[in-house]
Amino acid sequence: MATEAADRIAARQRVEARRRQLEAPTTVRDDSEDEMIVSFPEFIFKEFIAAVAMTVFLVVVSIFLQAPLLGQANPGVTPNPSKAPWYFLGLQELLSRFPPLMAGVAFPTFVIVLMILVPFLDRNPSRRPSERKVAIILFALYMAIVVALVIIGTFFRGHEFIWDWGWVLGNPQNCGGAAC
Amino acid sequence: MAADFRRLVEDSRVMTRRSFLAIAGWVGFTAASAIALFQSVKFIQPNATYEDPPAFKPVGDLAFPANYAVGSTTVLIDKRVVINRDQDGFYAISLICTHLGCTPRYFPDVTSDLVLAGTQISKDPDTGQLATKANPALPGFKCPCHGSRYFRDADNFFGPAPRPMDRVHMELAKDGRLFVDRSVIVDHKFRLKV
Amino acid sequence: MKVIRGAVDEMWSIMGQMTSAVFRHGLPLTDKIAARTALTNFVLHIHPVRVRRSWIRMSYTLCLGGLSFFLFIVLTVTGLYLMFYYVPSINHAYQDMRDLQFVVTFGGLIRNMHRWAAHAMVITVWLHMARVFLTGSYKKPREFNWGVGTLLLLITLLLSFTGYLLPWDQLSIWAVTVGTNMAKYAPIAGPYTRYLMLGGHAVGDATLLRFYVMHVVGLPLVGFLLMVVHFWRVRKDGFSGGL
Repeated sequence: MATEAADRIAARQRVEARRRQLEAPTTVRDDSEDEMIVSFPEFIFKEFIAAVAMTVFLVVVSIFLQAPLLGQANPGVTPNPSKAPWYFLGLQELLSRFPPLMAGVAFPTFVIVLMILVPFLDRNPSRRPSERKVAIILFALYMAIVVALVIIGTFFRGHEFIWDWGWVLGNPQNCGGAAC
Repeated sequence: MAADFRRLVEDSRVMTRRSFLAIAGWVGFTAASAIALFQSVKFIQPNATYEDPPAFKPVGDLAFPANYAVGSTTVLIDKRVVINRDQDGFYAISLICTHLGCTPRYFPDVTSDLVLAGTQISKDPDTGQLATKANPALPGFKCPCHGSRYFRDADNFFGPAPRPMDRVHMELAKDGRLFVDRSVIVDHKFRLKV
Repeated sequence: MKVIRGAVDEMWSIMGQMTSAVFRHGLPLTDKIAARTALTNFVLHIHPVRVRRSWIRMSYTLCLGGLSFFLFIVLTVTGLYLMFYYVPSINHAYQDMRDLQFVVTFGGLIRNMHRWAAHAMVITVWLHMARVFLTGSYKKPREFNWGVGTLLLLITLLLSFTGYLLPWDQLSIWAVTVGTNMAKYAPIAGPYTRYLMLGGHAVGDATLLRFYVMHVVGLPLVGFLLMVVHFWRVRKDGFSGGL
């Protein structure tokens, strides 16, 4: 009787172990120190520290860096160069190269829709970086393009949005003495 | 959801009173929502705007046609309009870049840097002038935003601008002054003869 | 003497009752008390009561989502301050900005904070998205929340764009002229869409009011609702946790 029960328990444990093996996530997690903790106060304290650090950072930056304010808006005079805020400079860079329907409407819409669809297009169930090289390379490429366009728009575009190395060196080209 | 809908449709073949009312209700709800959406758009569409009126008469010296020399280009910057006069007469240009709406600026020379860089520039159809190495400077407009360039007759020749700047209607008012209507776009051949 | 002591005791007991009416569970000396606090406290209840250490490791989350939300709060507060001195009309807007910078006590600081926090929020939201992508956290069951996050990124950019017009300086008017002219190229209703955005044919008084309303009420409201959904789904779909 005792052996029968022991066998049954052993069999159940084998099934359990097998199922755990089958259902185990593809990612391997080091459980040794991964305990459950109560989120208050540790987690909340971490957030609090981050918030305080950010506040201090913002106040210090705001004391020493003035937000730009140019002359009053004037529809008759377009400043030269006329640039969008830096996070739109990538878009402005595209606009200066491609037709507006493509660069201004079709391309951003495509990117947004593609981004929303990413979880459905990426059929790879793994979350390990080593098992999703393609996704990571594609994403890095995307980010690199965005950052490169923003940097080009910010630093390498001078008067009339023409490519200008002088702008980097703090030497904006003058327009032959005439006002630009 | 789909099954419910199919049942509703199948029910409606027999069309009990209940299913008829259900369908009528949903149709009414959908129609009312669509109308509400449409009306919301109509609400935010202004029926009257208090902008600078599109039609105006130039003031001061610029009011009378005699004060414009033949071959001259005059920029009325607060109206964002250019008045050109050539042998055939007057025409007005709306000084709004056709790329993204910035205000181009007049320069006596918009071509020489391109000519010296070796770019082929088409002929200015208005004056028939061609920028050459010997005579590289032609007057025109440059847009500060994305570098589009136009000849003085508003034809684009460089940069992302897709088409020439719009020409707008001009006429001579009864008091002998010029009259420009920026809301009426005219074709390339339009000239006001004085 | 006895009467005074009685009154003092009574006062202590009333104050004790007041304290315990607000803070129900006292100091979090044990896990049980801490858990109860997190469970019953309104401010804390967007957090799960229990978390795994790996979920909240700084090197994993970099706290980017939390910082984005915090910056949203900073922007709400500083934006509220700015609204006391700002009139969205082309006759006042620019002068109000000058006043904020040179006349109002700490006006320049508040304006700078609003501007730099807006820049910082664009950065943290972008980096948050990058972190979520690189850790594969958008995968099942979090597909929907990734979509909500994308919309939140869009709202962040739109808030920046509408806010950009409000100082009514040369930067504002031309950035918005170029931005709204892009709408003109949209197929079918492009020029009409631009007319609705501007409330006219060129960037002017009506545009300033429209952008102001969208900037201070419309978009923050939509953003806030999306954030509520976003945080709710983080709880319900589970934290993604370590790799």
